[in-house]
Amino acid sequence: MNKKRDKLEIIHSILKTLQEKGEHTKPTHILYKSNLSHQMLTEYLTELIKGKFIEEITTNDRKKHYRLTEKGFSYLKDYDSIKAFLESYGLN
Amino acid sequence: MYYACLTPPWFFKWDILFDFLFLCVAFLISAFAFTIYRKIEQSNVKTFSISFFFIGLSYLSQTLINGYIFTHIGNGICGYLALEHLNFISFIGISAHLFFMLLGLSILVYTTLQSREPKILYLLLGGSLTAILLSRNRISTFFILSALYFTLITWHFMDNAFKKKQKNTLLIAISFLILTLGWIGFLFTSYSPLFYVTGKLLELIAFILIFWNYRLLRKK
Repeated sequence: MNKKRDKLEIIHSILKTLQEKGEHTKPTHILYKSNLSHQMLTEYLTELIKGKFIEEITTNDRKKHYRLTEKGFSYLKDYDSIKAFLESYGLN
Repeated sequence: MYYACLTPPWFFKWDILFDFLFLCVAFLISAFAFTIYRKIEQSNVKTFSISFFFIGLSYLSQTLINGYIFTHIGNGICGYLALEHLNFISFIGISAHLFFMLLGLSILVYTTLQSREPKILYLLLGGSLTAILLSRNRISTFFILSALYFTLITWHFMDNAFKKKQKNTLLIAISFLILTLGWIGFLFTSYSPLFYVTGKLLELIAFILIFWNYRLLRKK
């Protein structure tokens, strides 16, 4: 049985997908890679936009795409350290 | 009557040095937690950072007051020394140490309880301060409350270590277990100053382990 992923791991998975895919990532691609329900993904994307980890871009054909911000890149760089800190003190 | 200092004279310089090391580690952990909070904006990380900041402030007060006593009165004061016999500056310093430590520990207990109800924090703070103010022996009450809070915090870290079974979780659980034993040792200081020295040495081991864990986290 798979261990239930915590919030930190889900956010990491979404940001990692955006990093690997590059500038304009479609929500369907994130959905496929992060293995979340549509509703859960929408909630996470809203939270990540609010936290300025990602940006939403609307293309000419009115389709939504996402890309990482500098804060998002910084989060991914420090992810291991953040995860280990939260685990050390049971804060996750 | 309550007692301000039970440090054996030969240990007084070491006591100041140890407190200085503890304040450095506490501020380091607080600053590291705050940089993580800035990245993930998780509220319990902020309260954790604040708790270590107050614990650091408490050790800072202790270092300053002991430094003041050492330079102005000399190390012959240690033994049974009534708080009333110290001058106003010393009284403020010792009171600041008690207040900041209880504040820091109450916030840390609140953080480990994983509650979002601020009433619990107010209850912990209010209860601690009332107990101290109404107590005849404030130093003993302070040690009892601190030992109790350290026990609660250690319970959380032990539970975390058993669930996650990782090196860093185990390191923190052991360090807080040692800290708790050290603070329980302080409770018996009135029987023999050696309990104080043992408590301080255990505290030193615990802070070295916390610092070691910090170094491991920074390397990741």
